[in-house]
Amino acid sequence: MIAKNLDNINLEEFPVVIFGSGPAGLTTALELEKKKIKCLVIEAGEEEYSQNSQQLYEGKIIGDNLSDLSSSRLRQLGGTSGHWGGQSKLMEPYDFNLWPIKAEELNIYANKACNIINIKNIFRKSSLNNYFDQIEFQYSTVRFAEKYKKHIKDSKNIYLVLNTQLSHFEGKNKLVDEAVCIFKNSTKKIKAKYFVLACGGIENSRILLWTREKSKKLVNENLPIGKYWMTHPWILGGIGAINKQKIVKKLNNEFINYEGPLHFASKKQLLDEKKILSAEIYMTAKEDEKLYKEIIRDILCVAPEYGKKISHNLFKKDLKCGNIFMSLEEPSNPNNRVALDLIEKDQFGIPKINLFYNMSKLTVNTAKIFLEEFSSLCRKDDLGRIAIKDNIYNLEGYENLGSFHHLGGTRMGINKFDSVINKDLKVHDINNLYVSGSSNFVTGGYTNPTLTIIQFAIRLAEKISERLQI
Amino acid sequence: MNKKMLRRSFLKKNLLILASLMIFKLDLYTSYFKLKKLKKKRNFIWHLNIND
Repeated sequence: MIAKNLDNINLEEFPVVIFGSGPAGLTTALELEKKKIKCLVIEAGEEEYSQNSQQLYEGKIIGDNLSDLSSSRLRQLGGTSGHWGGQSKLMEPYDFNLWPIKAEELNIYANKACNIINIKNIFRKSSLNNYFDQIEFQYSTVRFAEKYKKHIKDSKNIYLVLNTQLSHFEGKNKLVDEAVCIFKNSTKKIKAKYFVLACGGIENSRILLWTREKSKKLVNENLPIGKYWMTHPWILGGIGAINKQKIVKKLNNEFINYEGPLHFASKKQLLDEKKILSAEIYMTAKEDEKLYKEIIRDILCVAPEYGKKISHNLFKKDLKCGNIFMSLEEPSNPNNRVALDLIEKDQFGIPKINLFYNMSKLTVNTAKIFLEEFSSLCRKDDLGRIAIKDNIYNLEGYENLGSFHHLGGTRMGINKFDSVINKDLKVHDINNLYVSGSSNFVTGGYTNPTLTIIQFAIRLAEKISERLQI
Repeated sequence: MNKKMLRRSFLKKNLLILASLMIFKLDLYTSYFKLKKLKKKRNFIWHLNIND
């Protein structure tokens, strides 16, 4: 059932209340429904995109540039899946080294998670050398609102309420008693056995920080809420000409998708030996003809002999010329954090956020070393030639083309001093409050986060249903 | 052939050579300039082999 407000809903009948109807929140609701567990899903936004709703996602960024916070996430039914690119992949096993959970424990949910976003659970990999793999992504076209709206309307176990803002949780003795929600100007308090906060990579931190302000007895004052915030800087690393045929030969014909985009990612050995973070580079499937010509002209000027060598392949499928984009991992830094604005509040009386963010030198160095090692491989094995963007080469920094992934802030871990939740997504020292979404990530890897978010959301439904059965 | 004709033919021939040289030079100059400009605009550092 979908309702426009909380009126006429018996709020006593739900053992589980989920805040947020994005991939994290809806996945848990759908999984609980399969187990015949009733849940109430509260969405702050409307059924579709609205400018008024989006304005509530505004926030100040203090430090280095990031994508605008009111456009990089969506406050509506289905959350940010309403405009995501759909690029999906499981995280690398080595990404979980600092997490309290291992990849194997999570990947048992991979099939289910892939079904939810209508992709194949196939992520092939081909080893190029000790440092690099050719990798494969799957591309989802699922928008959660489109895919699940009718299902939820007809459902007897999922009640979805729109236009209702969660303000904070109230409670004591390690238990949340009520969630305080605001609809227009009226306040309603919702009771449940278990509460799931799944409002997004920044909103999760904001609500928890505000809860700590309002209910000091409920939230441990030492939890690093809002801290260790990260993104995946998406940058232009360079340009290059790559001979696909030669890569096929090198990979012993295990080349993945000759017609598709080219993706190469770092292996653990590169990270360990060079002391850098994880990264991925890619060249799009479609060639930009103008850029192609510019690159060839550049090569003919700086490397005439090589230019002559590749000239017979011009504009053929074997020779790929274009931009080299990168997706980079960032280190977890407690100083990059979501904090409450002490002065400005939104229309619900909840403080807006200040996002303190500075790009890290280690990330710039990661980009440089990755590109240098990759270009050296290309030169040695004559796979192509790469040009590195000068600001990266000189370690001056990079221009962030977009930072759409909001990671960290309610970090997962064992220790209460550097984490907010445990591996089951339960907030430390609160027995019935869970946080779900990319805010839980300990490290970001290079992989887009949605598939991992969904894996955790399925696992969360399992954990909650186990507790309800006891 | 009178003197006038000879001078005209000489000028014609030389003008042709001059024009083709100019075009040739201009062409070289243009591409050199463009590449310079291109490099300045694009700011990429190529990683090449010595014999490239």
